[in-house]
Amino acid sequence: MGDYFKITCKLCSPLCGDAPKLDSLIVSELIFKQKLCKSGEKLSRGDPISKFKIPSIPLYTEYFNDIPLYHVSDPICFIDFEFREDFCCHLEPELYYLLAEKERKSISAVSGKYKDTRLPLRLKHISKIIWFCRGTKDSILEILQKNIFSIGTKRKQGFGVVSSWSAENVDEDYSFFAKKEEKEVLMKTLPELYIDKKNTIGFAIQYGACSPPYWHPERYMNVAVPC
Amino acid sequence: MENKIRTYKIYCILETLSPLTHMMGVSGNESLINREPIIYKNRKVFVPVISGNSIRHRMIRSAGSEYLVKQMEIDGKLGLDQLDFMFYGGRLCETKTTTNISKIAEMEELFPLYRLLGGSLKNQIIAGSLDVWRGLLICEENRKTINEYLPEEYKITNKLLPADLFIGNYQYTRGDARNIRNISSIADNVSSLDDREKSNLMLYSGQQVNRNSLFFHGFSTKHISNIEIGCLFHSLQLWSENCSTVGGMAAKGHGRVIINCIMHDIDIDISECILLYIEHVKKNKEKMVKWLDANFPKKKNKGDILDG
Repeated sequence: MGDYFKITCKLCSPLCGDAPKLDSLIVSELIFKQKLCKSGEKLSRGDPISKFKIPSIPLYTEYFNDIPLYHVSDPICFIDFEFREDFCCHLEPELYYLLAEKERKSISAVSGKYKDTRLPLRLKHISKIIWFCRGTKDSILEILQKNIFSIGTKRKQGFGVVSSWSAENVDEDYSFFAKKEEKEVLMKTLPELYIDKKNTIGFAIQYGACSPPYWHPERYMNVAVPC
Repeated sequence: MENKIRTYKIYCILETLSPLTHMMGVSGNESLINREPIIYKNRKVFVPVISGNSIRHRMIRSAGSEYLVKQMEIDGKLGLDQLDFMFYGGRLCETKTTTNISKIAEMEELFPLYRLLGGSLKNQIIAGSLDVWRGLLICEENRKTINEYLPEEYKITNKLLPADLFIGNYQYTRGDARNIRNISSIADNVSSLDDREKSNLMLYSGQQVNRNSLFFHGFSTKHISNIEIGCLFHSLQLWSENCSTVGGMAAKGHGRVIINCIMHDIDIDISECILLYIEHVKKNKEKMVKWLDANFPKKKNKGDILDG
């Protein structure tokens, strides 16, 4: 059956982009650790998922039409505020002396290949992120504490640095649904056909994925997303 | 020395030796230093910050790539795409993206620097393994956040000075050409009286982080070998030796900093790792040039094509 618990992540730098799904974080980390990705082998959008072995993760798993549904809720972020920062890149003329003579030509900095970049980044100041899970608490916590140091996008530039991971037991399983006045509030992105629409509240139907790898087209279907 | 794949966290302190002007924009005709909003005592305050992108470029990529160019003896022979890849990380420019794992493996084996930093070939993006933290001003507002980064034994317990005390202003003047003595003898086109009456005096000013301020930042590296850790410290060493600066207006003496690294939980000999990296570069420099030429071919002149 597994424990019912919540995972809390505290951040010490702003989060860039959206908070990740916990199951995708764990799957990607285990793929690397268990060396399931052999040299010369990498799953791409064109390959069938069956070609690739998805590692078993210490979360309670249900199967819906052969799609594994891990018992972990979508991230719940405690956002203090959002702000914007620009990400800049441009070719500095001071290095042109390194170029071969025939490469010393005029280039456009406003369009084309060598265009200067001033990319606005959407940043969130987040005090903590919570996921409700059902599974083996200690194993999950160990994987996260040992391997995940930052989350979100632009991690290499210092965004989304994790200061701590912690786990705490809870009374009930809130990973898929949470009860509210005899109705159920959706907590995780699930297939549209999986949920009982009459008894479920707080969702919107979208086209997307509900199980890792979230980016793979085979995973795309009509899903109910918590909102 | 045992060459193990490991994960490291390196904590650093930057001390400013001259005013730091890492800017975020302008307000009117005054330049503003880069600040980030944080929550302090239940209100939003803006404190100076150095972006991870800037630290990464100046301290690691630029310094490390300059070394590689010198070692490979290709200064004055680089193609524009090669320069872009080495110094700015390259960019995707082909419509069809592919994942050629053998090409990635070859690059990671030959160039520990780009295994750390990642980059983009013309048709594929290669992720790096080095996370560079943002530079946080060591001030009271940031104390809690800095303590979250630090291991238990280094936590700051004393109260610090507020951020505002570290911020100052600069003002420079571009002189008026009319005040140059005997201007008519050196500039022919200032012959008309009207031109002489126009002043081109310009005052420009902005904010700065005062000298002797301290910034906390660091690196976290995931699954890297001794050569890569050697490469990281070698780049930092080169950057420190060559008048290390961060931010803008280095030409006017701004942004000079010194770096101190806290070697916490690192049980390997860094100087040996650096030597390992230097040897690796010396041994593989011809292969490196070949790899660069194969992946970023230079445009050929008509004559070159005819020659073969």
